[in-house]
Amino acid sequence: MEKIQIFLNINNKPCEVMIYPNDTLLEVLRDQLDLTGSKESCGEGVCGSCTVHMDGNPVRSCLTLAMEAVGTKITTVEGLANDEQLSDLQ
Amino acid sequence: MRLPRFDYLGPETIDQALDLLATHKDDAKILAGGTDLLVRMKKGVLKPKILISLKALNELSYIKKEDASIKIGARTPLADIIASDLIQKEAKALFQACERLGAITIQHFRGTIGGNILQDNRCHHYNQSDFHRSGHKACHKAGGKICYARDESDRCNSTCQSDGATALMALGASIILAQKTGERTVDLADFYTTDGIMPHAMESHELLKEIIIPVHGGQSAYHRLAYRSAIDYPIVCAGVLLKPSPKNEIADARIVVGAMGRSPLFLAKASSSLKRKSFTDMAAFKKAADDSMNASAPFAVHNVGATLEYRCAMVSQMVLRALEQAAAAIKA
Repeated sequence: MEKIQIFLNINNKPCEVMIYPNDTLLEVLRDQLDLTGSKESCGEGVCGSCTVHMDGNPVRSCLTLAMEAVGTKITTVEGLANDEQLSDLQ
Repeated sequence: MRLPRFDYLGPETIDQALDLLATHKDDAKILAGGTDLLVRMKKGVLKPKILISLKALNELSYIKKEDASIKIGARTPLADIIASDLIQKEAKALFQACERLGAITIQHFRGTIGGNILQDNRCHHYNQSDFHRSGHKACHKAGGKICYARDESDRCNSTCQSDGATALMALGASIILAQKTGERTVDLADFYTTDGIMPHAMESHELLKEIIIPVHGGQSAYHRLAYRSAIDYPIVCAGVLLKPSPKNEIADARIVVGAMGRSPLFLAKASSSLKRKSFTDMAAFKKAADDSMNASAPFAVHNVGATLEYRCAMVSQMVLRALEQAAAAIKA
């Protein structure tokens, strides 16, 4: 497998990352982008700890390939804040 | 959990996808929502060399009414099916099936109807991690020669726990399978091999393209029983379709029971016992529900986390509730 360069839109910021095809969005968010608000708990889509918004809809980032997130707007729990003001969920 | 390695291909058109399938066949798997495929890959029961993603194929995601049928693209997300007025009114069983399966808040925007139909059969001995399964010899489905769900069985007894397939079979649906050289339409009732290892009668170079639901009056209903109100697969489920005659009797009935056998079970005898009965004939409904229970019981094995006795008893409850609901909708 070779690394591929992809562009993601995370919390309204464009990000460029080098990924393997089998990297999940959750792994990229946590390991490469330091957005550790989404957690891996079950790894199989049951618990919801990895929930992020893709184009406004909640999805399980542990079961979303990073490749599948290209071209979508991803909002993580970090992105819910309004500057320094934490959202109710946070 | 880390996914195994694979190559990722992203075709831009259906024709490109079919070309890739024809080239790679058994080495490739289709990726739609990934809610079944990626979980199985993480558990180590599946290691395809190539994933062909349907991400760009928006032309496979639609719900429309054409002639006397509802046509649904295979990649249509469950969330779209639940939001569709057309499905709620004319294919109620499918709406009810999709509404309760998986998790409304999370999986529905990725989970697709095609993926739900094509989900692999399940068994609580097989659907475990590599580590768990390393504690004993491989079962039939994992490439071995033993079945842990049914002693001394020489075949795999894994169960089809697809809510969508059960409801669609009750609705008399058919599917279109596409390949590079053409398409074929298959009645969903004829789509199952009754083999637990390869439950679907489709080739590795074929793509599920469309689901067709005939619409000609009649009401359907679907009930499922699961431990929790979300996430869990059904331990038993039932879909029914009742069609009225001009004399306001039951002209035709279809009862399908799911999560009991290697495929959804269309119960012909129980269904035909309702012909020419009235929509208020509770005794006939009760008898059909009990007949359904007796007909489906021999197929079940202890592999979905509830005792056989309980599941079998609940078949008659699920069928009865679905029949009552469909009948009430016709009277209304």
